[in-house]
Amino acid sequence: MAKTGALFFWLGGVLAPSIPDLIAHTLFKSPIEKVNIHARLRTRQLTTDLCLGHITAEAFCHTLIQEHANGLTIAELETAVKNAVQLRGDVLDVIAQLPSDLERWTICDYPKAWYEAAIGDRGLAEVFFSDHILFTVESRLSHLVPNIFDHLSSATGHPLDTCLLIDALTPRAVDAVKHGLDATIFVDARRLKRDFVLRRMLPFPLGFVHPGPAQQG
Amino acid sequence: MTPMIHTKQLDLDTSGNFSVVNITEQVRAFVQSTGVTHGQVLVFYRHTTGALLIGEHEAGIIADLQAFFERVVPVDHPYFHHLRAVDFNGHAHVRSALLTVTVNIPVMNGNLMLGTYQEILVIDDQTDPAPRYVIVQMVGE
Repeated sequence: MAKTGALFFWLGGVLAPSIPDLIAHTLFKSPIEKVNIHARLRTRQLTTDLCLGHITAEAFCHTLIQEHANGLTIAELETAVKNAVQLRGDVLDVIAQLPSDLERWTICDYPKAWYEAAIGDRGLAEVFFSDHILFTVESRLSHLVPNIFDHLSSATGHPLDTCLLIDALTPRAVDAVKHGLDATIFVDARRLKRDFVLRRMLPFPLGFVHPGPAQQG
Repeated sequence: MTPMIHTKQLDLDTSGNFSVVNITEQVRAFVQSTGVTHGQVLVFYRHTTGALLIGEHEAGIIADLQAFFERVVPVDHPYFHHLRAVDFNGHAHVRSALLTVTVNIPVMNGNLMLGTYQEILVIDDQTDPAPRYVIVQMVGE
C-alpha cells in the first residue's frame, strides 16, 4: 500500500451540505430521505449534470421548480440554497490537526458562483491552500464516476494509489476503492478523526487502544 | 413493571444495487427519543432484496462484500426467479436469504451497546431504486 500523498475532501456532503440535501431543505422543506423517491432520484441526476457543467445553475433551479410546481423563482431558490450553506466547523477542526506535509484538496461540486457567494475563502483558508481546489464543473468530464478519480490524480500529479478520498456518498467511495484509490466514508467529524488516527495521520489519544493485526475489528 | 414498546418507521435514502446505508445514528436517536433506558431495540428491514448487517461502514469492507457476493451469487445468472419475467433481481433475493433482515441490539442506560466499530448498516440490493423502509421497535423499561 502506497503512502498517502494527498487527501481529497468533497465539499458537498463532507465540508458542507450536499446539493441534494440543500434542495431537500429549501425546495421540498424536508430531509432528503423523506422526499418522494422520484423527486429524490431526479434531484440526484440533475445534481450530477450540474456538477459536471452539463447544465447551468439557472437551468438546474428552473427544472426543479418547473417539475415540482413550486412557487419559488429561480433567483429565490438560488438565494435560499446559498443561504443554507454552512461549513462544518467540527470537520474543519479535525482537518486542521493533520500534519502540514499532507496535501489537502477540496473537490468543489457546487457551481462556482454558489461556492464564491456561500463560502469563498471563509473558513477553508485556514486548513486548505486557496489554490488546492478542484471545481468539478471545470473538469470537462463526460461522467463523474469513475472519470473523476483519474482526474484527481492527473490534475494534482499524485499517483492514484497515494490519493485518499473523503466522501459522504458510500457508492462513490466504494467505486474509488475499486478504481485504485483509498477512500474514507464520511459519517461525522468524530468518525473522521478516528479514521485519521487509525491511519496514523493523527496521534493516538490517551487511552486509545489501536487494534493490532490480531485484534482488529 | 410492564415493558414499554415504541415503534417507528425509518425512510432510507438509497438507490439500490448494493447501496449501503448507515442507520446507526437514526436508530440511536430513536432509542433516546423513547426515554426507555433498559431493553432491546429490534431493527427490521421490510424488503426481500436486501439485508441488515452489523459491521464497519468502511469502503474497503463494502467493496470486499460486493466482490464476495458477485463471486457467490452473481448478478448475471439465469435465476429461476426470472422465468416469471416480473423482475430480474434473483441475485438480490438469494443474497438477502443468505443474510438477515432483523437485528436486536441491547440498550443499557439509554445507550446502544454497540462495539467500537459496530454500526447498523442496510444493504439495499434492489436493481431498480424503490422506496425502502426499516422498522425500529424499542422494548424495555
